[in-house]
Amino acid sequence: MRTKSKLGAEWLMIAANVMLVALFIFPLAWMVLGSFKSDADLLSPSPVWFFSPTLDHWRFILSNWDVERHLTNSVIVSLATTFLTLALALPAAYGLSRFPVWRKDAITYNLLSLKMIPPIASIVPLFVLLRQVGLYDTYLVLILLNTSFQLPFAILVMKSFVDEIPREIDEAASVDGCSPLGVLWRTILPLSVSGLVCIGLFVFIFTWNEFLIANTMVGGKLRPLPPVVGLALTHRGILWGPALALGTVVLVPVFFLAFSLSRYMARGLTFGAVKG
Amino acid sequence: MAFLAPALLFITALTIYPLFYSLWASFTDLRLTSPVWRYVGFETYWLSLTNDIFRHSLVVTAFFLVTAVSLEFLVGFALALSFRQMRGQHPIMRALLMLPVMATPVSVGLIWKLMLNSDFGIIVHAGSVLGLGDVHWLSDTMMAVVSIIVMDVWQWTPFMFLILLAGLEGLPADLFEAAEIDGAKRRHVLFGITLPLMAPIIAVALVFRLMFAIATFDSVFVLTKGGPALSTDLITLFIQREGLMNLNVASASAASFLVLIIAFVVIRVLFKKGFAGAH
Repeated sequence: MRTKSKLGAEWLMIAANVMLVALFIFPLAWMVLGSFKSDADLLSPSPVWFFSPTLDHWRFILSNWDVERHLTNSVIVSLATTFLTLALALPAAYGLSRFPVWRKDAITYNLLSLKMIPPIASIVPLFVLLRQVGLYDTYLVLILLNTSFQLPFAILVMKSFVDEIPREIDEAASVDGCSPLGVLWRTILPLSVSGLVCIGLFVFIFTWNEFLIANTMVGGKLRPLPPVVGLALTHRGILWGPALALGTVVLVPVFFLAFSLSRYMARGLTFGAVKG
Repeated sequence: MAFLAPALLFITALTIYPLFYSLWASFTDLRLTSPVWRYVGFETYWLSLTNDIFRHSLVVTAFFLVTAVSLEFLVGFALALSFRQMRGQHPIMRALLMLPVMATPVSVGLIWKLMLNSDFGIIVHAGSVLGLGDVHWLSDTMMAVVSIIVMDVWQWTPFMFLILLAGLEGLPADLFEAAEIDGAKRRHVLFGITLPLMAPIIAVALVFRLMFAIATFDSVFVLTKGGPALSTDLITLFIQREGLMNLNVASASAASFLVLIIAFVVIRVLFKKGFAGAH
């Protein structure tokens, strides 16, 4: 009797949780659906659930809003930022993990503190500085700034991965005559591939999603996707259909990448503090 | 040290330097519209602290942070506990729940602007079906604050859920078995065993959530742009307007520093309590 009611409770719990998850996913689905509705269905006061899909809004953003160009910008900036961040973060994490660094704890702690600064606080001085050195409105400025914003995160999470590699392995390599640089290249790098992939995916998504730098530091042709969405929405008369299609273009890659990351989510989002 | 140098140089040039620049600028009356400036000591800070719009913005931000983060914690913890009640891992449900967290904030703003639209928003429709009448989510000053909190809770509850679930899964199972054998009540297990053991993880979750929440900008910028009548004017929107619209570098810098000081104090207190324990 007891087990039977326990089993029922378990099913009830599963059903309730499935409903809750559906509730969290619904807004995302509602936007994607909306991008395929005709204006009449989209702007109808009572929601339309069943409709004949149309590609009008998608054709509109392809021909009028230059989506391919902004998509390319997003891909270039996010990929370059990811590689530059990883190239700087792995040696730094290796150094922090293996060598007696001067004031190591202070460095680790301050790296985390840097993330407490809301990006908006440094955007004004950066804007002034970068105008002066003539980097305004280039891919380079987006890549450099995004890298500096992502580095504290990347170093700390990378350190949590390097800490897991047994020290005996690099000691063996140095006995065999490897220099510290050789150890990094020959043993740490190959053993950190899963860490690099995980952090790389996070950095890619964060950079892809970034709005403030992209909105401030470049204009017109070099804009990545998020500021284009922002612009489409702050106009007076919003073109809802195209805006939803554009919002969908931005979100789709994030979904696929986030799905492949789910195992590392807890570790990544707490900068390595929770192993999950 | 040599391995750290490139990364630290990079961070110094692009993060530390701007901080010092803005510290310097906060003691001047620098505006981008004029090449002339002079030192004014603490005058800019004084002007900020006595500026009603700035103070209002601090109040809005504090209310938003406290309400949204507490709700996220409560709902996230309840959800994590209920996931622990189910057998198995349910990896697909977990992965799906992470989508709002990773979703592009401007798109999140767009989604809620669509759903809360007073003419054709589905939530407004649902409200009138349920007999709540016409709720003016985005045009009423009170409801606009509720709107940005609802949006934030939707996006970030899964974050709390995930961190707390990871924490729950790491707790020693034998303690709970012993409690069950002794016939302990659920309430006593929760307050006597689960919560004390979870304290460090809860602190980590709160620290990281607060850290990201203070920087909230894109989604609110898209959803309400701080309006109506500055009712949702978070401090980040205030700084953006001062610095990049009014080009008043001094005022934006002083505001940034005041926020930084508050953020550091709050987060440090939580950090000292929790982070040390989690490692």
